Amino acid sequence: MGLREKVFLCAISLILISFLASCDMIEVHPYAGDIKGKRDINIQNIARIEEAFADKDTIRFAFISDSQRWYHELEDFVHHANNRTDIDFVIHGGDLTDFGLTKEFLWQRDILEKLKYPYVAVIGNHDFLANGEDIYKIVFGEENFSFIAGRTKFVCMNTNALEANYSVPIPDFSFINAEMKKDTERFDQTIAIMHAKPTSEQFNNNVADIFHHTLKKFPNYLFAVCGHDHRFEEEDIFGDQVIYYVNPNIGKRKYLLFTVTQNNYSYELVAY
Amino acid sequence: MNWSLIRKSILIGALVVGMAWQSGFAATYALGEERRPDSVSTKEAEDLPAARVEIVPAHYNMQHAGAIGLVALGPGWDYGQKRQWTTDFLIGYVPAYDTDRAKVTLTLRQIYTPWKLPVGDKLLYEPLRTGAYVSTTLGKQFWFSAPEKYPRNYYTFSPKVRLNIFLGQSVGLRFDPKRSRFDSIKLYADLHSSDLYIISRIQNKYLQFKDYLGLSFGIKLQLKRR
Repeated sequence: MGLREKVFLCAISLILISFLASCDMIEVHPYAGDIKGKRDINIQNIARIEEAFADKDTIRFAFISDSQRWYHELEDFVHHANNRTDIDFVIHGGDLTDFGLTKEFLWQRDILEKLKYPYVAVIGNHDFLANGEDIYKIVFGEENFSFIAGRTKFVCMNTNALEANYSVPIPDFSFINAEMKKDTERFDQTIAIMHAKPTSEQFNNNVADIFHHTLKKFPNYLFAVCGHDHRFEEEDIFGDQVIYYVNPNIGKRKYLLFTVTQNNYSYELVAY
Repeated sequence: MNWSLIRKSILIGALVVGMAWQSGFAATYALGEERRPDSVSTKEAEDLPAARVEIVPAHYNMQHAGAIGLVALGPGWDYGQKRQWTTDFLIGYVPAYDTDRAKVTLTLRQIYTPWKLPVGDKLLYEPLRTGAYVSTTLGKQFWFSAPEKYPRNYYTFSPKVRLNIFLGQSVGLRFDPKRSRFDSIKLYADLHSSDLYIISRIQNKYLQFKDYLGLSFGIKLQLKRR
């Protein structure tokens, strides 16, 4: 057998072997929406949170957000958080992806799954791109959801009105009003979680006042935490001492750590 | 004139020119032959077909993966002195998977194949095939440039158009010219990545090879040159 024949045989076996062993490297389409691995993360973790902290007086949660394409920084956060012992759960404020690619959702999910704490994620505007909204719903769950930790209700909302062309109600007042009346015996204070704060270009600012006013009808509306702006902000948007906190993006290696007690709360901007 | 419209026209223009390029050549030669049959000597006329680029494709591809679909099909044309340049057109099908609808892609691919090494009488080896392809995904949710509702430069990429680069090899089997309509059948494998994955990798070292590189496989049916 000549050299060319040998090279040819090597080439054909290389092609065939890579074909057989390539399942991990088959890219059908960047927006294929072929979800492998864990789904419905929010609802599973909410069950963990509600069970574990039902009788806890003090709740401490870490808030991270805007981790799109900051994989290393997100992974470092996970290591950092896992080394602490004083966090109850983690909330991600949206923008897990930059381009809405299916793989971006899965890469971020796989990093977050290494957290030893339960976590939930709200949807960010980038997570809507192309068919990202569908992928978010499959991997994480509904765009509007709530949970109760201790005696505090966390109302988590999609506020990215600009992404939906105002064709669906964002924020969804029927959801908010229903939450107000649901499980009232189990909570007596409220925290709002969203990606884009009122006054943001993403927010439907025509209803910003009504949005805030409606949330204030909840028992003891303590504060709101948002992402999107990629910098720390502490703003009394509506002039009534209910603060809207904005968390820096994870690329800045910072997160907000909130400690919530009965009728009170404190926070710390932690660098890691 | 609106910037998005300019970008759209450039893309459509490139697609059309790419397709028409081949047929244009063929048409010119064909017309030339018809109009002035006397001015071309017999010798020259015999040589003409070899230099001609034809409308009839030189080959057909069937491909698996490559970020353009589970299966993509389409014709291609070879040109250049050693036929080292190839332009392929592919229509791809992406099943719905976990989303609510299947997708269709259109791809224009340019390949450079510098070496074609015969192995014995029957076999053929191309140690390198490399190039780039532009693919678009049909559907409203995949916009070309961000809709006007967004502030300027809000999203600076297009979910619709992907630029991919690739590197691969192919092995082929020649058919008996007397018995087959086809010249050869080739099997190829390409390693590819797209603009968005490359950007993600460059700006964050977390991603591994298997994350941002993909493998695609294809069968290429080469027609007989007339």
